[in-house]
Amino acid sequence: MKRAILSFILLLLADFAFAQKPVKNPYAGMISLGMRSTYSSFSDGTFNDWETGYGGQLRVQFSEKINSDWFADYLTGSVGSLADRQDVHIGWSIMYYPLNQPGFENFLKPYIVAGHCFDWTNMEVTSSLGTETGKKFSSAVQMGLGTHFNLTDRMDLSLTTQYMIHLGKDIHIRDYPEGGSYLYYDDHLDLEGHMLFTLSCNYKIVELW
Amino acid sequence: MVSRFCLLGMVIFSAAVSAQDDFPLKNFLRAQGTISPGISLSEKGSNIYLHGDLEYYLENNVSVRGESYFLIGGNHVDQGITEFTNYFGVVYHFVGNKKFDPYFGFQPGIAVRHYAVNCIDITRVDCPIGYTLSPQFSVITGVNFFLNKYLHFFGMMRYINGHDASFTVDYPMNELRFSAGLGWNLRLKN
Repeated sequence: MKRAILSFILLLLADFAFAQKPVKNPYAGMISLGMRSTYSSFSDGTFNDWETGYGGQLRVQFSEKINSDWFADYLTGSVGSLADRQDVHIGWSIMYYPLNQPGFENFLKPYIVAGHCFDWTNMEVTSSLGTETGKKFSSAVQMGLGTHFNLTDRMDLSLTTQYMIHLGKDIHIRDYPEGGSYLYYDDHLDLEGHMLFTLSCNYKIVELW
Repeated sequence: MVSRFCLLGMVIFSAAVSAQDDFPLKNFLRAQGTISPGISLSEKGSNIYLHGDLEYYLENNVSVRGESYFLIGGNHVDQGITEFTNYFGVVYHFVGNKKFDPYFGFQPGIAVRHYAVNCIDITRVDCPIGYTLSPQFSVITGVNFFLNKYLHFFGMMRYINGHDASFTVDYPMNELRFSAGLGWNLRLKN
Protein backbone atom coordinates (compact mmCIF):
# COMPACT_ATOMS: atom_id res chain seq x y z
CA MET A 1 0.00 0.00 0.00
CA LYS A 2 2.82 2.37 0.98
CA ARG A 3 4.62 1.54 -2.27
CA ALA A 4 1.47 2.36 -4.28
CA ILE A 5 1.00 5.74 -2.53
CA LEU A 6 4.70 6.59 -3.03
CA SER A 7 4.47 5.68 -6.74
CA PHE A 8 1.34 7.84 -7.11
CA ILE A 9 3.05 10.83 -5.44
CA LEU A 10 6.11 10.38 -7.68
CA LEU A 11 3.88 10.26 -10.73
CA LEU A 12 2.09 13.43 -9.60
CA LEU A 13 5.41 15.20 -8.97
CA ALA A 14 6.75 14.16 -12.37
CA ASP A 15 3.56 15.29 -14.06
CA PHE A 16 3.65 18.65 -12.20
CA ALA A 17 7.29 19.18 -13.14
CA PHE A 18 6.67 18.48 -16.84
CA ALA A 19 3.61 20.75 -16.86
CA GLN A 20 5.66 23.84 -15.84
CA LYS A 21 6.78 26.35 -18.43
CA PRO A 22 10.53 26.59 -18.93
CA VAL A 23 12.01 29.07 -16.45
CA LYS A 24 14.70 30.45 -18.74
CA ASN A 25 13.48 33.00 -21.22
CA PRO A 26 15.32 32.60 -24.52
CA TYR A 27 15.07 36.34 -25.35
CA ALA A 28 16.29 37.75 -22.03
CA GLY A 29 19.72 39.29 -22.17
CA MET A 30 19.63 40.12 -25.87
CA ILE A 31 21.73 43.23 -26.54
CA SER A 32 21.17 45.33 -29.68
CA LEU A 33 22.96 48.40 -30.98
CA GLY A 34 21.23 50.95 -33.18
CA MET A 35 21.34 54.31 -34.91
CA ARG A 36 18.33 56.62 -35.00
CA SER A 37 16.85 59.68 -36.65
CA THR A 38 14.33 61.70 -34.67
CA TYR A 39 11.91 64.42 -35.69
CA SER A 40 10.63 66.64 -32.90
CA SER A 41 7.81 69.17 -32.95
CA PHE A 42 9.36 71.44 -30.29
CA SER A 43 9.52 75.14 -31.14
CA ASP A 44 6.88 76.57 -28.81
CA GLY A 45 4.03 74.37 -29.89
CA THR A 46 3.97 75.12 -33.59
CA PHE A 47 4.22 72.24 -36.04
CA ASN A 48 5.96 74.31 -38.70
CA ASP A 49 9.45 74.15 -37.28
CA TRP A 50 10.63 70.59 -36.84
CA GLU A 51 13.83 69.66 -35.15
CA THR A 52 15.89 66.94 -36.82
CA GLY A 53 17.86 64.64 -34.57
CA TYR A 54 20.75 62.20 -34.84
CA GLY A 55 21.51 59.63 -32.21
CA GLY A 56 22.11 56.10 -31.09
CA GLN A 57 20.69 53.55 -28.71
CA LEU A 58 21.57 50.42 -26.78
CA ARG A 59 18.71 47.95 -26.48
CA VAL A 60 18.64 45.50 -23.56
CA GLN A 61 15.88 42.89 -23.50
CA PHE A 62 14.73 41.78 -20.03
CA SER A 63 12.18 39.12 -21.01
CA GLU A 64 10.13 37.93 -23.96
CA LYS A 65 7.61 40.74 -23.41
CA ILE A 66 9.84 43.51 -22.03
CA ASN A 67 12.63 45.32 -23.82
CA SER A 68 14.44 48.62 -23.11
CA ASP A 69 16.12 51.41 -25.06
CA TRP A 70 18.97 53.50 -23.62
CA PHE A 71 19.33 56.44 -25.99
CA ALA A 72 21.06 59.74 -26.73
CA ASP A 73 19.95 62.25 -29.38
CA TYR A 74 21.24 65.58 -30.66
CA LEU A 75 18.50 67.70 -32.28
CA THR A 76 18.62 71.02 -34.08
CA GLY A 77 15.89 73.28 -35.45
CA SER A 78 14.64 76.82 -35.65
CA VAL A 79 11.88 78.69 -33.83
CA GLY A 80 10.12 80.40 -36.70
CA SER A 81 12.43 83.05 -38.08
CA LEU A 82 13.25 84.26 -34.57
CA ALA A 83 15.85 81.90 -33.17
CA ASP A 84 17.61 78.61 -33.50
CA ARG A 85 17.54 75.80 -30.99
CA GLN A 86 19.62 72.73 -30.12
CA ASP A 87 18.58 69.93 -27.76
CA VAL A 88 20.41 66.96 -26.32
CA HIS A 89 18.23 64.09 -25.03
CA ILE A 90 19.67 61.32 -22.87
CA GLY A 91 17.23 58.80 -21.48
CA TRP A 92 15.71 55.37 -21.37
CA SER A 93 12.44 53.74 -22.38
CA ILE A 94 10.76 50.46 -21.57
CA MET A 95 8.99 48.66 -24.44
CA TYR A 96 6.19 46.21 -23.72
CA TYR A 97 5.06 43.78 -26.45
CA PRO A 98 1.30 43.28 -25.94
CA LEU A 99 0.80 40.57 -28.58
CA ASN A 100 1.64 36.93 -28.07
CA GLN A 101 4.29 36.74 -30.78
CA PRO A 102 7.28 34.67 -29.73
CA GLY A 103 10.62 35.99 -30.92
CA PHE A 104 11.13 38.34 -33.84
CA GLU A 105 9.90 36.10 -36.63
CA ASN A 106 6.81 38.16 -37.53
CA PHE A 107 7.54 41.14 -39.78
CA LEU A 108 5.60 43.50 -37.49
CA LYS A 109 6.04 43.49 -33.71
CA PRO A 110 4.13 46.38 -32.09
CA TYR A 111 4.94 47.74 -28.65
CA ILE A 112 3.91 50.28 -26.03
CA VAL A 113 6.77 52.48 -24.88
CA ALA A 114 7.33 54.79 -21.90
CA GLY A 115 10.35 56.20 -20.12
CA HIS A 116 12.37 59.11 -18.76
CA CYS A 117 14.75 61.57 -20.31
CA PHE A 118 17.07 64.46 -19.45
CA ASP A 119 17.27 67.41 -21.81
CA TRP A 120 19.80 70.19 -22.34
CA THR A 121 18.55 73.06 -24.49
CA ASN A 122 20.45 75.90 -26.11
CA MET A 123 18.57 78.78 -27.78
CA GLU A 124 20.09 81.62 -29.72
CA VAL A 125 18.27 84.74 -30.83
CA THR A 126 19.86 87.30 -33.10
CA SER A 127 18.62 90.84 -33.59
CA SER A 128 20.04 94.22 -34.45
CA LEU A 129 21.12 94.45 -30.80
CA GLY A 130 23.34 91.41 -31.15
CA THR A 131 23.15 87.69 -30.39
CA GLU A 132 21.74 86.38 -27.11
CA THR A 133 22.13 82.77 -25.95
CA GLY A 134 20.04 80.93 -23.35
CA LYS A 135 20.55 77.46 -21.87
CA LYS A 136 18.36 75.27 -19.70
CA PHE A 137 18.20 71.77 -18.24
CA SER A 138 14.96 69.87 -17.84
CA SER A 139 13.79 66.37 -17.11
CA ALA A 140 11.05 64.68 -19.08
CA VAL A 141 8.76 61.69 -19.31
CA GLN A 142 7.67 60.18 -22.61
CA MET A 143 5.10 57.63 -23.71
CA GLY A 144 3.89 56.30 -27.03
CA LEU A 145 3.46 53.46 -29.48
CA GLY A 146 5.77 51.80 -31.95
CA THR A 147 6.53 48.75 -34.00
CA HIS A 148 9.56 46.78 -35.13
CA PHE A 149 9.86 45.88 -38.80
CA ASN A 150 11.89 42.68 -38.52
CA LEU A 151 13.97 42.39 -41.69
CA THR A 152 15.92 39.36 -40.42
CA ASP A 153 15.95 37.55 -37.06
CA ARG A 154 18.79 39.85 -35.97
CA MET A 155 17.99 43.15 -37.68
CA ASP A 156 15.01 45.45 -37.42
CA LEU A 157 13.82 48.91 -38.28
CA SER A 158 11.75 50.44 -35.47
CA LEU A 159 9.29 53.30 -35.84
CA THR A 160 8.14 54.99 -32.62
CA THR A 161 5.73 57.85 -31.98
CA GLN A 162 5.87 59.42 -28.51
CA TYR A 163 4.67 62.43 -26.60
CA MET A 164 7.32 63.92 -24.33
CA ILE A 165 6.62 66.33 -21.45
CA HIS A 166 9.52 68.38 -20.06
CA LEU A 167 9.53 69.82 -16.56
CA GLY A 168 11.79 72.86 -16.16
CA LYS A 169 12.08 76.62 -16.21
CA ASP A 170 11.18 77.52 -19.77
CA ILE A 171 12.80 80.09 -22.06
CA HIS A 172 10.56 82.20 -24.31
CA ILE A 173 11.25 84.58 -27.16
CA ARG A 174 9.72 88.03 -26.80
CA ASP A 175 9.72 90.99 -29.16
CA TYR A 176 11.00 94.48 -28.36
CA PRO A 177 8.42 97.17 -29.24
CA GLU A 178 11.07 98.92 -31.31
CA GLY A 179 11.87 95.71 -33.20
CA GLY A 180 14.07 92.71 -32.58
CA SER A 181 13.66 89.87 -30.08
CA TYR A 182 15.08 88.78 -26.76
CA LEU A 183 15.05 85.68 -24.53
CA TYR A 184 12.82 85.70 -21.47
CA TYR A 185 13.36 83.20 -18.64
CA ASP A 186 10.44 81.86 -16.58
CA ASP A 187 11.04 82.09 -12.81
CA HIS A 188 8.85 79.04 -12.14
CA LEU A 189 8.73 75.41 -13.20
CA ASP A 190 6.54 74.74 -16.20
CA LEU A 191 5.61 71.93 -18.57
CA GLU A 192 6.60 71.90 -22.24
CA GLY A 193 5.35 69.06 -24.42
CA HIS A 194 6.12 67.90 -27.93
CA MET A 195 5.76 64.96 -30.27
CA LEU A 196 8.72 62.75 -31.17
CA PHE A 197 8.92 60.49 -34.20
CA THR A 198 11.89 58.13 -34.22
CA LEU A 199 13.10 55.73 -36.90
CA SER A 200 15.94 53.46 -35.83
CA CYS A 201 17.86 50.53 -37.25
CA ASN A 202 18.99 47.93 -34.74
CA TYR A 203 21.17 44.86 -34.84
CA LYS A 204 21.16 42.14 -32.15
CA ILE A 205 24.85 41.72 -31.39
CA VAL A 206 24.98 39.31 -28.42
CA GLU A 207 22.89 37.46 -25.84
CA LEU A 208 24.52 38.21 -22.48
CA TRP A 209 22.48 36.01 -20.12
CA MET B 1 1.75 50.83 -71.01
CA VAL B 2 3.89 51.80 -68.01
CA SER B 3 2.58 48.87 -65.98
CA ARG B 4 3.46 46.48 -68.85
CA PHE B 5 7.02 47.83 -68.92
CA CYS B 6 7.20 47.43 -65.11
CA LEU B 7 5.93 43.86 -65.39
CA LEU B 8 8.43 43.06 -68.15
CA GLY B 9 11.22 44.62 -66.08
CA MET B 10 10.27 42.53 -63.05
CA VAL B 11 10.19 39.33 -65.13
CA ILE B 12 13.63 40.08 -66.64
CA PHE B 13 15.00 41.03 -63.22
CA SER B 14 13.75 37.86 -61.53
CA ALA B 15 14.98 35.71 -64.43
CA ALA B 16 18.41 37.36 -64.28
CA VAL B 17 18.68 36.85 -60.53
CA SER B 18 17.52 33.23 -60.56
CA ALA B 19 19.88 32.37 -63.45
CA GLN B 20 22.96 33.44 -61.48
CA ASP B 21 25.28 31.16 -59.54
CA ASP B 22 25.35 31.52 -55.78
CA PHE B 23 27.69 34.26 -54.57
CA PRO B 24 27.36 34.49 -50.75
CA LEU B 25 28.02 38.00 -49.46
CA LYS B 26 28.53 37.22 -45.76
CA ASN B 27 31.90 38.49 -44.41
CA PHE B 28 32.52 40.67 -47.47
CA LEU B 29 34.23 44.00 -46.90
CA ARG B 30 33.54 46.45 -49.68
CA ALA B 31 34.58 50.05 -50.30
CA GLN B 32 34.44 52.69 -52.98
CA GLY B 33 35.49 56.24 -53.70
CA THR B 34 33.81 58.43 -56.28
CA ILE B 35 32.50 61.87 -57.21
CA SER B 36 28.81 62.43 -56.52
CA PRO B 37 26.44 65.10 -57.78
CA GLY B 38 23.69 66.28 -55.45
CA ILE B 39 20.42 67.91 -56.54
CA SER B 40 18.98 70.23 -53.94
CA LEU B 41 15.25 69.76 -53.34
CA SER B 42 14.77 73.00 -51.43
CA GLU B 43 16.66 75.50 -53.53
CA LYS B 44 17.76 75.81 -57.14
CA GLY B 45 21.08 74.33 -58.09
CA SER B 46 23.31 71.40 -57.37
CA ASN B 47 26.39 70.46 -55.38
CA ILE B 48 29.34 68.17 -56.02
CA TYR B 49 30.89 65.91 -53.40
CA LEU B 50 33.79 63.55 -52.94
CA HIS B 51 32.13 60.40 -51.69
CA GLY B 52 33.54 57.29 -50.04
CA ASP B 53 32.04 54.36 -48.17
CA LEU B 54 33.07 51.26 -46.24
CA GLU B 55 30.69 48.34 -45.74
CA TYR B 56 30.85 44.98 -43.98
CA TYR B 57 28.33 42.18 -44.60
CA LEU B 58 27.38 40.68 -41.22
CA GLU B 59 25.02 38.26 -42.96
CA ASN B 60 24.10 37.63 -46.58
CA ASN B 61 21.18 40.05 -46.20
CA VAL B 62 22.53 42.53 -43.65
CA SER B 63 25.50 44.88 -43.65
CA VAL B 64 26.73 47.85 -41.65
CA ARG B 65 27.90 50.79 -43.72
CA GLY B 66 29.58 54.14 -43.07
CA GLU B 67 29.84 56.90 -45.67
CA SER B 68 31.45 60.31 -45.94
CA TYR B 69 30.86 63.22 -48.31
CA PHE B 70 33.07 66.27 -48.68
CA LEU B 71 31.67 69.27 -50.54
CA ILE B 72 33.96 70.31 -53.41
CA GLY B 73 31.78 72.37 -55.75
CA GLY B 74 28.41 73.83 -56.67
CA ASN B 75 25.96 76.17 -55.01
CA HIS B 76 27.12 75.89 -51.44
CA VAL B 77 30.78 76.42 -52.27
CA ASP B 78 29.73 79.63 -54.05
CA GLN B 79 27.99 80.66 -50.83
CA GLY B 80 31.21 80.21 -48.83
CA ILE B 81 30.24 76.96 -47.12
CA THR B 82 32.56 74.07 -46.34
CA GLU B 83 30.73 70.84 -45.55
CA PHE B 84 31.73 67.39 -44.36
CA THR B 85 28.96 64.84 -43.82
CA ASN B 86 29.09 61.39 -42.24
CA TYR B 87 26.45 58.66 -42.29
CA PHE B 88 26.34 55.34 -40.51
CA GLY B 89 23.63 52.70 -40.51
CA VAL B 90 22.36 49.34 -41.57
CA VAL B 91 21.65 48.11 -45.10
CA TYR B 92 19.22 45.34 -46.04
CA HIS B 93 20.13 43.34 -49.18
CA PHE B 94 17.08 41.89 -50.91
CA VAL B 95 18.80 38.92 -52.61
CA GLY B 96 21.89 38.35 -50.49
CA ASN B 97 23.67 35.44 -52.15
CA LYS B 98 23.93 36.50 -55.80
CA LYS B 99 26.30 38.75 -57.74
CA PHE B 100 23.41 41.11 -58.42
CA ASP B 101 22.85 42.89 -55.09
CA PRO B 102 19.98 45.40 -54.84
CA TYR B 103 19.59 46.99 -51.40
CA PHE B 104 17.86 49.53 -49.20
CA GLY B 105 19.40 51.23 -46.17
CA PHE B 106 18.72 53.66 -43.37
CA GLN B 107 21.62 55.86 -42.32
CA PRO B 108 21.25 58.75 -39.90
CA GLY B 109 23.97 61.32 -40.46
CA ILE B 110 25.52 64.50 -39.21
CA ALA B 111 26.84 67.41 -41.27
CA VAL B 112 29.69 69.59 -40.08
CA ARG B 113 29.63 72.97 -41.80
CA HIS B 114 31.59 76.13 -41.50
CA TYR B 115 30.84 79.33 -43.30
CA ALA B 116 31.35 83.07 -43.30
CA VAL B 117 28.96 84.75 -40.85
CA ASN B 118 27.04 87.91 -41.77
CA CYS B 119 29.34 88.73 -44.66
CA ILE B 120 28.01 90.29 -47.82
CA ASP B 121 31.37 89.72 -49.51
CA ILE B 122 32.48 86.21 -48.49
CA THR B 123 35.88 86.68 -50.07
CA ARG B 124 36.85 89.17 -47.34
CA VAL B 125 39.49 87.67 -45.08
CA ASP B 126 38.06 89.31 -41.96
CA CYS B 127 34.72 87.47 -42.22
CA PRO B 128 34.09 85.64 -38.96
CA ILE B 129 33.72 81.87 -39.35
CA GLY B 130 30.81 79.96 -37.81
CA TYR B 131 30.40 76.22 -37.30
CA THR B 132 27.25 74.12 -37.18
CA LEU B 133 26.53 70.47 -36.44
CA SER B 134 23.33 69.47 -38.22
CA PRO B 135 21.65 66.05 -37.84
CA GLN B 136 20.25 64.53 -41.02
CA PHE B 137 17.72 61.83 -41.82
CA SER B 138 18.87 59.73 -44.74
CA VAL B 139 17.81 56.62 -46.68
CA ILE B 140 19.66 54.97 -49.54
CA THR B 141 18.82 52.56 -52.31
CA GLY B 142 21.01 51.09 -54.99
CA VAL B 143 22.57 48.06 -56.55
CA ASN B 144 25.99 46.37 -56.61
CA PHE B 145 27.13 43.94 -59.25
CA PHE B 146 30.04 41.82 -58.07
CA LEU B 147 32.43 40.98 -60.91
CA ASN B 148 34.64 38.67 -58.85
CA LYS B 149 36.19 38.40 -55.38
CA TYR B 150 37.81 41.84 -55.66
CA LEU B 151 35.77 44.19 -57.86
CA HIS B 152 32.20 45.35 -58.31
CA PHE B 153 30.17 47.99 -60.12
CA PHE B 154 27.81 50.06 -58.03
CA GLY B 155 25.08 52.66 -58.42
CA MET B 156 23.16 54.31 -55.60
CA MET B 157 20.87 57.18 -54.67
CA ARG B 158 20.56 58.91 -51.30
CA TYR B 159 17.71 61.03 -49.99
CA ILE B 160 18.60 63.51 -47.28
CA ASN B 161 16.28 65.54 -45.08
CA GLY B 162 17.79 68.01 -42.66
CA HIS B 163 18.17 71.59 -41.67
CA ASP B 164 21.17 73.77 -40.94
CA ALA B 165 20.01 75.18 -37.66
CA SER B 166 22.24 78.22 -37.62
CA PHE B 167 20.11 81.31 -37.27
CA THR B 168 22.41 83.46 -39.34
CA VAL B 169 22.64 80.97 -42.21
CA ASP B 170 19.32 79.14 -42.29
CA TYR B 171 19.63 76.46 -44.99
CA PRO B 172 17.31 73.53 -45.61
CA MET B 173 19.45 70.52 -46.49
CA ASN B 174 17.03 68.38 -48.50
CA GLU B 175 18.90 66.73 -51.31
CA LEU B 176 19.17 63.76 -53.66
CA ARG B 177 22.72 62.48 -54.17
CA PHE B 178 23.78 60.03 -56.86
CA SER B 179 26.90 57.87 -56.98
CA ALA B 180 28.15 55.25 -59.40
CA GLY B 181 31.38 53.63 -60.39
CA LEU B 182 33.82 50.84 -59.62
CA GLY B 183 34.33 49.54 -56.09
CA TRP B 184 36.57 47.06 -54.27
CA ASN B 185 35.59 44.06 -52.20
CA LEU B 186 37.36 41.41 -50.20
CA ARG B 187 36.07 38.34 -48.35
CA LEU B 188 37.51 38.49 -44.83
CA LYS B 189 36.41 34.99 -43.71
CA ASN B 190 35.28 31.92 -45.60
